[in-house]
Amino acid sequence: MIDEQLILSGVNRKNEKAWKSLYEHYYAALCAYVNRILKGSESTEDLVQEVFIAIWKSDKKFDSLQDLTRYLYRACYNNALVFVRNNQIHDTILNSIGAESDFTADDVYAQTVREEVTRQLYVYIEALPSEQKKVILMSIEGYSWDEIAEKLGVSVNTVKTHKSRGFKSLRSKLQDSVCLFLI
Amino acid sequence: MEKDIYDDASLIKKSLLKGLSEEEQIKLEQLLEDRQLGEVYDQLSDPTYLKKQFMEYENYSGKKGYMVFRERRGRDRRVNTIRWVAAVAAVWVIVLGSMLWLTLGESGEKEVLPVASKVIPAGEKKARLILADGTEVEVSKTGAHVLKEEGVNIKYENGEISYVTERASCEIVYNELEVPRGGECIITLDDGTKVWVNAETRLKYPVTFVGEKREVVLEGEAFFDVVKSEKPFIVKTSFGEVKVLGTAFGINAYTDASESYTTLVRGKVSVETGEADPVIIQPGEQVVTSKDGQMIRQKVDVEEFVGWKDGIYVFREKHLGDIMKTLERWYNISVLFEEEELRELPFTGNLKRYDDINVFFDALTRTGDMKYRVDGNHVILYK
Repeated sequence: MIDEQLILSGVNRKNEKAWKSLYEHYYAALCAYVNRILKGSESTEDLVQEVFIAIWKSDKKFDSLQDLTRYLYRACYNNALVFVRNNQIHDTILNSIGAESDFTADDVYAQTVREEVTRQLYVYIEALPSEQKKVILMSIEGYSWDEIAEKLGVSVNTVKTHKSRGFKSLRSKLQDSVCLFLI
Repeated sequence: MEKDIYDDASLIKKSLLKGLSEEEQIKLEQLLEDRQLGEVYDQLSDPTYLKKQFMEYENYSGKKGYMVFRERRGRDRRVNTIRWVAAVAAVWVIVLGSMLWLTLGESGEKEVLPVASKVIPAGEKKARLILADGTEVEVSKTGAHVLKEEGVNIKYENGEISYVTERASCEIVYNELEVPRGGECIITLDDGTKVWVNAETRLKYPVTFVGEKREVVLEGEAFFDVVKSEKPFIVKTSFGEVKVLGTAFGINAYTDASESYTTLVRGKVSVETGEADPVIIQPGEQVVTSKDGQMIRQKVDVEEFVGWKDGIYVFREKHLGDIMKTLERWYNISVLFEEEELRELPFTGNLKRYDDINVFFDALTRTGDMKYRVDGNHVILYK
């Protein structure tokens, strides 16, 4: 994982390494995002891939990471809507997709921000040293200190250190119970 | 204030991870005044929610995704074609796909309905036939007529013209077919070769093919289904020559364009410009010829280039500006872009050639990216 700002220029220059990072940073989040609109369609990954491929094949240049991020979500969103619409026309069974979707036009922005926050947190955690990452992921999964220590085969104190390093101030908002231990 | 997904998300992430400065805290509070963003913030503050989200991310691998991407972007585009053609066959209606610059943030725009617009119908079978003596004959949708020209019967019926030789001649007599904007015509030449002639195109051909070769002159776009014969069939354009024996291929060679496209569906063709060595292509391939005689050979989705003859336009990642050039000819309109950037919008989808163009514009409007209005045969696209 490299710094996101570094991805941008490489993406514009069609640099392989940058594109690989782009995938590592955005692919899973965009798939999850599209999947929320398509409600578990098998086409989710295809659709996201098509967005990436279209950018690769175009001459499009992005001014900023913001620009790139916005574009990716928009393109995925548009293509997903088109997919839903097409399937509605031809397959009445799928008619309910649109109606059931928790995406409505006026909260797309909020939904997208939610995905983006999740993505940034995910990327942040992924970039941590592996021990710290494990501790954080396990604590998010709801394991207690003792359980984490047992699973990782380390002492509780080590776990706490890892946690305080990596999770430093992942405050009560994120995990009340964990923070109690940190205090 | 312009809303930005990345920046807003960064602020929220920071508040979750590290806490905010006073200034940032004020910004966050302003942000969360939006009811929906407020709800989202509450969701994100719940570790079980995050856990669920992260678990979903685990279903998708960026690394694997990248491998697939590498394989696909270099892959023979015919694989896509098959899927695409199948989709066309199954769907056969307007499919609006888009990579459009939808304004996610400004939700109100989704509701925009097309401004009451005049309907612009599709082009139709029409052409003008210019005989050797200069006589001009209008060929319209209806009527069956037979003309005679140097021992050849020229029949035209339902907008289709056919030539049948009655007695052999040794003199080359040329006829010319002129298809206007908003028109199309199908013509069967004396050797049985069938030519679909698209809008704003001229085709000059001998009434009877005499001599060692069959030679026609094309300016514009046509699809040829050439009957196999010993005599090579040659299409001359302002970009060069296309030489074939018996094949099916499309040529797009508008004089005002910077490039011409020869797309092969069946058989084998050789494209020559005199500037470079002849390029021979296989089915599913295309030669792009530029004005200076340079040629590039590439694999393509043939539907995208010859689909029009079967009544369908296929656009793949094509800029709206280019799409409009094609549609302007067929619908006999001129399109004005109020914002130049609209030209750059890439678009993927199919359009039924015989639908009125409003179907297409209405679909574009529904994306919320642009609106259109019709003024005579001008169409104005704006934001």
